[in-house]
Amino acid sequence: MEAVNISMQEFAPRLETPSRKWYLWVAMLSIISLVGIYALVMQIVKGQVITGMRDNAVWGIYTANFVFFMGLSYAGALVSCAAQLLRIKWIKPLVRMAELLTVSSLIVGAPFILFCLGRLDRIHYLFIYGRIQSPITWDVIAISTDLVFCIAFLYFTNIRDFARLRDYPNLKVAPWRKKLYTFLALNYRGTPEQKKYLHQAHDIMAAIIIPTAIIAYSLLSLIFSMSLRPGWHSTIFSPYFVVTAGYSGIALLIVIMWIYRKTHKLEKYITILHFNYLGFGLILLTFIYAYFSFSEYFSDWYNQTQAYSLLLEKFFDFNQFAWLSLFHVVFAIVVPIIVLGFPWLRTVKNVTLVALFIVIALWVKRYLIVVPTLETPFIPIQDVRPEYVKYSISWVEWALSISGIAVIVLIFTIGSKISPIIPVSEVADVQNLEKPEILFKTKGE
Amino acid sequence: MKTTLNRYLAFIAMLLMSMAITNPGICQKKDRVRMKLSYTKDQKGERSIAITLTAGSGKSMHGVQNGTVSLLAVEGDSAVTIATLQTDTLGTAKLYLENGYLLPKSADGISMISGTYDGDDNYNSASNELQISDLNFAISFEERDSIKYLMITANQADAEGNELPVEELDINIGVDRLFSILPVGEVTTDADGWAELELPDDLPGDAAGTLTFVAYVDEHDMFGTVKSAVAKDWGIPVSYEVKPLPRQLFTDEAPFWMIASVFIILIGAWYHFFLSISKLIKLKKAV
Repeated sequence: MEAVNISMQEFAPRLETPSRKWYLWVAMLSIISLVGIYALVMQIVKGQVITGMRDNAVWGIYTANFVFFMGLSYAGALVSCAAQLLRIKWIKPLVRMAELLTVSSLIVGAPFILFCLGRLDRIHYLFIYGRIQSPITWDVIAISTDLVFCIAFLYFTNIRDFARLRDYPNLKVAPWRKKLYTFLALNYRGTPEQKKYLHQAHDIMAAIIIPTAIIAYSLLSLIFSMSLRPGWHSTIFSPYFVVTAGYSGIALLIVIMWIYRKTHKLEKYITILHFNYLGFGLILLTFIYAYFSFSEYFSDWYNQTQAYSLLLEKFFDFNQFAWLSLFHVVFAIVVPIIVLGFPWLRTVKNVTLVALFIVIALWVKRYLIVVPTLETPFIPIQDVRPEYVKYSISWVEWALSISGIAVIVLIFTIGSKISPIIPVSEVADVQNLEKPEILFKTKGE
Repeated sequence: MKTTLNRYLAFIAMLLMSMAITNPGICQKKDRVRMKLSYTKDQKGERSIAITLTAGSGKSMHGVQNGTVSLLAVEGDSAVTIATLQTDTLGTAKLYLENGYLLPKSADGISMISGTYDGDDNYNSASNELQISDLNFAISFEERDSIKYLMITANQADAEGNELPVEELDINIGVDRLFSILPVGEVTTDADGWAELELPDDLPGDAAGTLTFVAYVDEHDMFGTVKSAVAKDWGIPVSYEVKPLPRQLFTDEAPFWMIASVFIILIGAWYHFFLSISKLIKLKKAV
């Protein structure tokens, strides 16, 4: 990365007293979040009958959201931890966005699986009577572990910036915030010993988060692939899920990058180079994703067992899921290959637009994993009402989903008000060409 | 003038006819209803009369819901209403006769029950009759030359309460199991109403070897469905102690290797977490 001058002087004013616009924005997001809470209360009071979930499709948009948000969190963790471990300098300005994406999507995504439960009041039974053999128990353990680790990692990367904010004399913030920065900075003064300890803590966390995130997301796929259902019972589901997670997460990171670049005037730090590199990563993931998708569906199609055939027919039936399938294939595979593949199409705007459509298409993909399979059981229920077989999304589910997105945006909005969205200390390291300690060293010949 | 009047009359007649054709209340054809009456006396001695009202035929056959059925005990020329019942969604209703309740009997000990259904807008009326003769079984056991026998006597009571043997009656013998009766054999009574059945000696019983033998006749023209049961410890004692299930994926307790794997992974992960926290503690102290 090209050396740039960076200092807290540039970012401190953004952390000071928020503008009226900022308050309005936060109020709007809070109202949307409250609508979601109202929908949740209604669901708890009236039961799941007010959702679209019924006897056949026992999961719906909630599970799709759960898988989607977990995937985003995985990609954020991968980017920030890989940057730390592999000492990738160009990625440094994006690290905080990636970490915020990880933590916010974990906080929002994890509760979505709970919304599927018919008896939320018995949630503690999962811990009292949970069977260690069940993939759901593994998931509960893995996701909660991942969440703690990712919050810790987000904090670790903020320590040096908190210290800078503590020491910045012209910072006009409330005294309690100054005290908070002092507390969170952990007496960090930048001594060589402290730098060494912080590096070690960073490296250890980064090294443990990558496998934890991969395990957590693989376990998530096992909830599906360990069930005997058409479209789910597949050996490649774990790597397929991990690749899809990375793909959707990096696409969203590009979108977030673009938004911050425009709204916070960060062109100096988030350059075309970042869009180039991440765009390259995106096209690589597009091909891997396309390969996995083809392998998955081709083997299902070749088998031609009754339930699998019925499921695949639904993907080609325009009265069923063909429009969604087409949207997914076009915007998750075809368009990215065309736009990112040809250099004259690869502009910042195009890369961002393609990334945005990839994010939407991969949400659709999660919906297509969950719903059509549940609507196509091996042993269909006889003489049942059509609305019990066919899933349709209710307003409650839409409200909770949209409020989930609002909460993520809210976390980003508040998070970037507490500490700079560009990690000042990390970028300054690159600027000062500070040579960080290498994690793994060989001992000569 | 007369022609004009005739025209008016003809018009009114056509109007009435068209109303009759289009009004479903006038033109609708009512369904024919069939009534079935059956009498049951179970092994506990509880007696009941079941009524079933059905309409339609083949695939369109269905029960008549909410039909009011009157049950009358007929004695000579007079009839006494003993109950009025309403059918359920399947078109069935059941009358349980209290213990000790005596139905009026003819001289030969036969009670005549008549059921009537008056019909409604959709269904025609229906009626049927049922003859009930109170049948009793006396069951005993005997072992001769190491062979086990069940002996049964079938009697019916006349109007004075005298027991009369029932001749040529086919009786099924079985053993009561959890969901149904396991058939063991069938006997026919002789002139004394008596019959016997050689029992197999390899029937598994409960922990004490007890078997519940059931003698029964099903939907007999005269006696209806009658059951009688007696327990006898002639079965092979079977211990139903459930062996502890192995540690497997599908049982309550997980295999050791799985518990060990999960704990090793968790300990490894959390060890590194606390290791990094310890670095932060050192960082705080190293000023």
